[in-house]
Amino acid sequence: MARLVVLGGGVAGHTTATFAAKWLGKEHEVVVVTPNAKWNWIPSNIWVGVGEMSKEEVTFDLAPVYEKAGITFKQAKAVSINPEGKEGADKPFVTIEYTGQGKAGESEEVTYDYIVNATGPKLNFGATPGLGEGSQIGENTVSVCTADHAVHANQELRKIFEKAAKGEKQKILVGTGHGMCTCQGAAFEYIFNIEHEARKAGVRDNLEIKWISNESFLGDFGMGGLHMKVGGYVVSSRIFTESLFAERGVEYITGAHVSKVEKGKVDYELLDGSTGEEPFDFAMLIPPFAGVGLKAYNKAGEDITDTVFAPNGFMKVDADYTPKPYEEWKASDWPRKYQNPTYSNMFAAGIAFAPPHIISKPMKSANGTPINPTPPRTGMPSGIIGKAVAHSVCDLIQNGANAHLHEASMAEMGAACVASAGKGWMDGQAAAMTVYPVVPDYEKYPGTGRDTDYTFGEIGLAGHWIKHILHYLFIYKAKLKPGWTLIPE
Amino acid sequence: MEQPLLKYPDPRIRLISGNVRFFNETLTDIIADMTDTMKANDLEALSAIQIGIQYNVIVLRENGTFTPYINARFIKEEGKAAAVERSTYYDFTAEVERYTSLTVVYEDETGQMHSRDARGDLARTFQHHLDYAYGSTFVDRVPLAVKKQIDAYLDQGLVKDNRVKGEESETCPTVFVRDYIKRAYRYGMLAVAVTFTLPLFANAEWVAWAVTIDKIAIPLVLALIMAYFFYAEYEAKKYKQCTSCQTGNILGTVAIGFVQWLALSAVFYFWMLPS
Repeated sequence: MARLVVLGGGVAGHTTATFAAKWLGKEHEVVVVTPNAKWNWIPSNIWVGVGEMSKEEVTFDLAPVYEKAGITFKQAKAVSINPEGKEGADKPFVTIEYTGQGKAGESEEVTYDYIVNATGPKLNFGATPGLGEGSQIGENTVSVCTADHAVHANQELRKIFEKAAKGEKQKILVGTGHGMCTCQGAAFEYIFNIEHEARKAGVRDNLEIKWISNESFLGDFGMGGLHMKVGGYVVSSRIFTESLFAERGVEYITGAHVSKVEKGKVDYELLDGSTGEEPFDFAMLIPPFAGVGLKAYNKAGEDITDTVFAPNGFMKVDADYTPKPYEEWKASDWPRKYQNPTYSNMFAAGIAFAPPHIISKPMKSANGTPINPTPPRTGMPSGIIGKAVAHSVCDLIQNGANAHLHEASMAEMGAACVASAGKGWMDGQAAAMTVYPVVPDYEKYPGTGRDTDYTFGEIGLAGHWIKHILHYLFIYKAKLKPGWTLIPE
Repeated sequence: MEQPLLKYPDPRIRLISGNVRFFNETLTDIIADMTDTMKANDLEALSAIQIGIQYNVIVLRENGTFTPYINARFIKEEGKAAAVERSTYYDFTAEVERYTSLTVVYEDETGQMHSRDARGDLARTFQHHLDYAYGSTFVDRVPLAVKKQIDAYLDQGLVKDNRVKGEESETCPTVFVRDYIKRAYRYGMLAVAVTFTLPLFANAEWVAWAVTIDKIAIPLVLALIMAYFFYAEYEAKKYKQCTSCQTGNILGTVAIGFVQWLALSAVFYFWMLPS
């Protein structure tokens, strides 16, 4: 009997664990280690952040789902990995610290045959002074990264709406809280959902809504832009988003690194090296992401964290990490199997793997500050990678060490994002944008590195319906209800 | 060397330009061709895609000197004003609203990054030309009503995407097989619906015959809807890069088809069977 340990229960971890448990059956054990008792469909946190959904609608308890699937659930956070075991014991193990199940604070060593690191990111609020401390959000801004953050964001937003309803002018700032953030899409959805709610509440006239982001152009989304179809015409996401901002009366600052946050004010640096400040009454700024800070030790107990993890804390996999200038970036630099090069029984999926470089064009301000989005590895790619990794691990367990590993390169993967611009069955709006491949392949598609030869979604009510249906579909799938394997990632 | 300017309805105007990554001889040649084309056509500014080169390069003529602006981005956009613009691509002008002031962040021909403030006409020229690099012309910047007028005015309508009409795509099919299945079950439902009129004028023998036909056709339609679902799912996996949200659309189509089928069955049961 072999044991697979999956660290993390987000999109990637949950997909890996549930598929592995299904394919491996009862002969082998799948263990999930995640500090949260609940699963969260993160994309819908946007709607929690504007009060259109409750926390309960976007989360559910993991324990009963895992019990049904035959997965051992340990509500704990992983602290360190010993891929070679320790003195007197060859079996590799992971040290975990319980956060629930009545054992909070207790440590345990969980041995494994295979391990999948799908911890997701540490929300690195501490990277920007005033944004927070370490992974804890500060008091100056709000966030929609977790369901709890989103609930709090909505409470703060309602206070702003109340003031606006009394005739007080209020200023809302939404965007990225650092020069090297990813997840612009979430902030984009949030700003337009706020705008939509403000109009519904009749307070739009008293709100000034502004966007601040590290993208070098509007609509970059960390992917160097996407394509979409609007009213039957194919346009770049830059043209589309600029029109949307103009239409909804939202101003923007692009190419910005937020260098400091204070109560009611941010300081920022722009690509041309100039600086500025922006006041606000309410700000939602996405923090940069870092690895969760797992440590690794060899058999002798020496720290080998640098061998297993990249400096930003994400796990090294089969990618080409040689530092290269922009012109030498290749699609083949990106990982295909998500296997750690040193320890072949170790994999990483979702945000937890270290990308070889960014996707957008690298940009630095005149002062040398990097201001560019880091690569998104969320949603659809996360699920696809999680499933491929589950496939590989199952084959390794069932067919032996020479089994063929499954591949899922982000340079051969398309992504579709449906971005909500307002919720409502009749007046909702969402934009569907597509890109193929996620990572540009300059050899196959000279110039942009992308294949523009495919059809696109449209903005409108239909887009919103799809987004809303996806919410139910994915939660249904994650709960492993009948037919869950038919629903794609 | 002077290059021909793209003219309506050349679909290449819809191509999105890539960032320049190599600052080499090819780039020097591109800039030289652009400069020559500008001289020959007496142009003040030119975007590379206007002569069919898919790279983000803009060349500007100021006081007789030609300066390339590579991988340009705008920051600090402020103020808005409308003015009439002319494009080398179309033979008409339109009033377009643009920012009156912005800062251009760009690279020179050696790859060095610079920035430059632009106001008024210069800011407008930059905005007009950077739109080309993003697969757009000013028609994407005018109000929808104006865009519709332009679409009606042009003999072939506005260019919708970068595909040459009638040319088969290499990676994505223009017609999905699933659409044939959809058409088949829709015709099936239509045929069944037509038989519902028979009891109004035909004799009992004809109606009995129609009932027999419907008894076969109705399950067949359901089978086709199911076949549509599974084949469509297969096709969506096979061509997953070709269109977004395929699963959403497929589920929607199946749901609509199923509701129609239920209605059809109900009418059959309550109207056709007793008669």
